[in-house]
Amino acid sequence: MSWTGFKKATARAGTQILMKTGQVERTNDRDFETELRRYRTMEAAATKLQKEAKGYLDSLRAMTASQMRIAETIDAFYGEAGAKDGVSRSYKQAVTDLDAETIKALDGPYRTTVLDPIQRFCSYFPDVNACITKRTHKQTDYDAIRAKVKKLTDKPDKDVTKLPRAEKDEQLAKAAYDQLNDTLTSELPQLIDLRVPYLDPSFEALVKIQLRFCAEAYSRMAQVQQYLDADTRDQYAQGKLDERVEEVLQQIRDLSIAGTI
Amino acid sequence: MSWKGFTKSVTRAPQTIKQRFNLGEITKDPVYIDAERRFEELEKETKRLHEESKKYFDAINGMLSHQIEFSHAIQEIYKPISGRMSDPDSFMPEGNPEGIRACEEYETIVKELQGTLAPELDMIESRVIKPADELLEIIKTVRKVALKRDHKQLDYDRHRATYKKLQDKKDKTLKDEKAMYKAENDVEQATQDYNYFNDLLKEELPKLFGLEREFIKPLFQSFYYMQLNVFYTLHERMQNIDIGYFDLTLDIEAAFEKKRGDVQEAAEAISIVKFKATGGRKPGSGSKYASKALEAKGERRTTLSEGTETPPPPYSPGPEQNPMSPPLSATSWGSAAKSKPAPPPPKPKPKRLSGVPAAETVTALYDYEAQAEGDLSFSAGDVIEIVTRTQNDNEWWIGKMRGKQGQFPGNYVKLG
Repeated sequence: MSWTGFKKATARAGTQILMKTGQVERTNDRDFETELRRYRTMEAAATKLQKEAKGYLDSLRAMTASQMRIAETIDAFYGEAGAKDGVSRSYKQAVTDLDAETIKALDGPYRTTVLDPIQRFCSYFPDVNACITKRTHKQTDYDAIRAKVKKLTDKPDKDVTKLPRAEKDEQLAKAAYDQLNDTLTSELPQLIDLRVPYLDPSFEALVKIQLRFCAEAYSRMAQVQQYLDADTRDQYAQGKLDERVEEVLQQIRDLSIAGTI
Repeated sequence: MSWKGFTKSVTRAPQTIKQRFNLGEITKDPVYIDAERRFEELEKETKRLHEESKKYFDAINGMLSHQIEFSHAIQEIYKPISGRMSDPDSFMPEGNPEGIRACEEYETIVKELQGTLAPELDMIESRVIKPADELLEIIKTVRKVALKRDHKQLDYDRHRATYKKLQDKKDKTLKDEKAMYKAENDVEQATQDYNYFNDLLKEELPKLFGLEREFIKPLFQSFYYMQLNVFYTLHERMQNIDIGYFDLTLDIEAAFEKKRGDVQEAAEAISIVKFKATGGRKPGSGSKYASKALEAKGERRTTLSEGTETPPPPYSPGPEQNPMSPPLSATSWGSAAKSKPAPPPPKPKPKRLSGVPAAETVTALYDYEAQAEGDLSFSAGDVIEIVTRTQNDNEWWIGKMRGKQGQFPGNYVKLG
């Protein structure tokens, strides 16, 4: 913090204490307070939206990434046996395509229509918050100087020049405060009103991107089926595959190296 | 480690060192070495299969819950925001009731989807992750056997070395003879132990590999069908999404642009959203005190950024048709604003959307703040469409950006 900033902060801290003890009156602007509360609500909602939008993309990526690694592992298992049926190859191809093409193709639109707009909207908040902080500071300054003027009027000082000087300072402080207060009171509702048109298109885009992802993921996965025997599906449905897994697992357990020696 | 284990590892230590540095005679069984290598791979892959199927399971769940949370958040946005929650009269007729309904419908669909997928996902848990887990346990046991075999090999080599040393000794004393007899016994014992484990592993590891393949095949097939089911359900449910609120016929980006219009520009026209850059007011309108403070701030900022940024080149003063030179204070205002890193430029519209052939464009190298009426402001990195330009970049060109047209110094941009 700079020296000037520090001096200001100290002076304001003093005023804060005087306010608490009731020696300085705080200006209360109901309109602004209302708008501020509305703004805070919106800020919280938009920040959450940003988090969720990012989370969705991340989990989508995590899903395809682990699919790919599973495919690699399975291919490695099959690889030693010599991939005769081509299932593992085609599965690997399908998930690789899903990752490389579908996700990459949707990544751009997702960014332009969902992530970036929301992020941009959220990027306004630090600026608005800086403005709000400044307004609070100006308000404190104004309250402090007003209390000073009041004190001088109630109990005139020996130095007669003090009162006019303080009054002039009061005017300046009021102007600075009013300017920021008016800007905020008029512009916060404008920003709040724009939230729906601003963020609404992203919702539709998100839903559409999901639709497209699901459709493509399904069609890519379904292609692998042709490499599997026709009755594998029935075996799966009847739980035969699980039985087989259990059976083999038992055989492995029966190996003497797997037992306790 | 038990006491017995500890004494064993101490007696084995010299031989372990010898083996590490490849000293003396070390038994190498090529068949076993190969099996061991394959076993290591198997171990690694089983571990990976287990971890990844778990991650996959989590990711799908995460995807759905993020969908729901997103819709919650957007619903919050759609709701009318009242400053006084306790006062129902203060609710303003704003917000987006149709949007809220769409959210609710969407949420119902996703929740249903989550419900439908839950058993499928449980199946991944119980039928893929669990068997893989069990296999991993077995592999750990096998790993122990392999370790034991390595120890026995060490013992075998160690005893053999001792025996050989004694045997090679020229004139043996009675003590040596005794020791030799003992060493011979040890060698015999160690050979038996080692062979037992070595043969066991050599015989059974290939069996394990074979079984593993048999194990992985149905496991993979089940996993595949589960996955297919998951995607099928996702696809089915999402396909049937019938929320009138969404225009599903249009392309993603086209619909987005259409629905969005110029709301971003409108939002950015509000001065408080770039308060830090401009101080929230137009140049010249603030009090003298405030503008002074801002100038000071601007100076501070420019000195800060000096080290990192190369200053833009000087441009020639404005063209003749712009005789109004901006007031001096405006210049410093401009520089104060310039030193703040510009927000990322908006993405250019996808080419296929704009039917007209691409016009010549230039990319801004530096920030430029309008100095007079009719100038075009931009930030470094912005892409400007050229309306007219000359060959000389020290002149002022005319360009268009975000629907605004204006002049700017040609040396502030680069072609392309």
